[in-house]
Amino acid sequence: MTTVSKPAPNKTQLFRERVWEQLRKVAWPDSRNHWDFSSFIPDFEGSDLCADRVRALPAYQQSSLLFITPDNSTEALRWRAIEDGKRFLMSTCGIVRGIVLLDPHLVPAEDRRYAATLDGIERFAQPVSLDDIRRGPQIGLLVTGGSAVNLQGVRFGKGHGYFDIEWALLSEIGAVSVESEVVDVVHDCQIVDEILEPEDHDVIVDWIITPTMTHRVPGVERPLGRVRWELLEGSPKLKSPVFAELRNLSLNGIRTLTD
Amino acid sequence: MVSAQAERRRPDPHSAPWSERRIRATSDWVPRNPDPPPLYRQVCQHLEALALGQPFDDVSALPPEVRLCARLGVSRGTLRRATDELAREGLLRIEPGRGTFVDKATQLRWCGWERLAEVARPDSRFDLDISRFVPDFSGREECDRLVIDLDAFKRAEVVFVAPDNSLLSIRETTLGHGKRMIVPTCWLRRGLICLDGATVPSQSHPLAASLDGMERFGRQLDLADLRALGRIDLVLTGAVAVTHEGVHIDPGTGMFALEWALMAQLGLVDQNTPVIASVHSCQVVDAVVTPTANDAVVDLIATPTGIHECTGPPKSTEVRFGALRHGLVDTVSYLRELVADGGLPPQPVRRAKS
Repeated sequence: MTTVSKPAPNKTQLFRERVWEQLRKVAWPDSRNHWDFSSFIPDFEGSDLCADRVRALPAYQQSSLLFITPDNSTEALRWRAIEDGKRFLMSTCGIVRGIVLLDPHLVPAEDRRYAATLDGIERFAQPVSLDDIRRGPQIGLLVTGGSAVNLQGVRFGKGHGYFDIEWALLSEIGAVSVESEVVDVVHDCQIVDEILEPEDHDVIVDWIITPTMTHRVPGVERPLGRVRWELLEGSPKLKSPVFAELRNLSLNGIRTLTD
Repeated sequence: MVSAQAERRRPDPHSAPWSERRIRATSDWVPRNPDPPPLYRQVCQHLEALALGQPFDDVSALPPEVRLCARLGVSRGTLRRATDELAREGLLRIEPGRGTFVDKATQLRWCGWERLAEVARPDSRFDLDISRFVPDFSGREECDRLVIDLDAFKRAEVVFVAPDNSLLSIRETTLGHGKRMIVPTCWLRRGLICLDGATVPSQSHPLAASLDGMERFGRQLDLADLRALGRIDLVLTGAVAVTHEGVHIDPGTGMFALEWALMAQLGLVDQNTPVIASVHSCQVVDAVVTPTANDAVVDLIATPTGIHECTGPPKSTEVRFGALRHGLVDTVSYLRELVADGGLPPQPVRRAKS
């Protein structure tokens, strides 16, 4: 008899898989990725209730510009934001094509729901450079989805770390500050009890919003992020135009944290 | 009421999406190049270029090993490793004692991708990774106009439209004309969806025509629903490439051929059902390919420059098991149902070679 030794599965991957099993019961498949939760973050029953809870936050009401991740679970919020006339930035899937801006005033009323979907946003959003974002208003509220989160605000995405990179990019160009608030929109079944030790590039969230509750994470002091070039070395993520642009901004004497 | 100003601001649904206007960073800085690939990978690249550069009508073998080794300055072992790799990927076919041949369908597919990359528009999920989807392309608006003008389109009441990005706006038009439309979900994972242009509210047509929206407005059809459709009047598809004769080259999944076979098996389509491929002119290739079970056949090709009538091989109307990639019977519920009904023979078991 032979023993096959398998590498010990990553602990966070186990959380993800346990949560995905529960999530499957309340989630919807993606138009392209079907039920492959490692490739996308699904929409779920009650995401519209989450959207209304986000809209009730003072930070939502006071921000003239939001950042929303390209997750299916945040589609309902994108729809409401368009209805509310709130402009928002969204990264493209995998940040491959950088960041886009959706200006609700450019969306005809009958197309608002369509414009909130990832397919629809292709038609209605404008690409923006980091320089455009840098010159624009501060982002008061950032909304992301995720695979799992604990009540201390430590979250897990699909495992690619996109949100951490987005926070780092926006920090580097001064588009977010320590005053900016971060919301994680999840289903109740995505909340895990474990005390998770955050790594130093993990973005801790201020708010956890589910269809049934709005949870303020106590005592969050989130530092600004930095692009960790050493972690990106050789990564296909570097093909995104944002990294070249960030380097150029800093080479051209525009102050970024990378300097 | 929509104000005149809002009307002006409304993006033209037929205009290129923003994604075509990509940010081009002025590159003082580029990511550091990784180390050069190992030797056999470099040989792979040479062989690939050699194979793809062959005329489409050339069915002769590649130069013999000795000459290739000399030309590339590598050992026979390295050359073989590269040849084996490309054979695994389907580009080369090694026939012992005869030589190494280029697989024409794969050559057409890979060349199709190369040409398509120049004109493709990105997908919301897969960007320009066009091996994973059939992209929209610049000039597609003209194809749409030509297809909509055809009698076959005007007369059709039930239209099958493949879930290709190049067909997004024609799906919207089909709904706009009040037709019933059958659209497969990607890789048939959630079956076929029926959308009725007469009942979907017209302001929702753009969303209902998109892959993200169609399942919110359409009904998923089971086998009985499909049979009850009676017939499908017109079939529209995109392609990676299509030959002058009408052999349809897809991304290598065999999905369109399978969908066609399924509809034929249920009596929804037959030899006389018109099949139209809507493609960029660069995707039409002059090559003679014998369609395998994975290749469907089309009657008409719509390109931005005109409609081309194909003379090609007859359309097959039976489910051929060659089309069923390993595991598809398990993931496509219709096939499971068909096998359970006795409408299809059970999947043949591959016998181990003795």
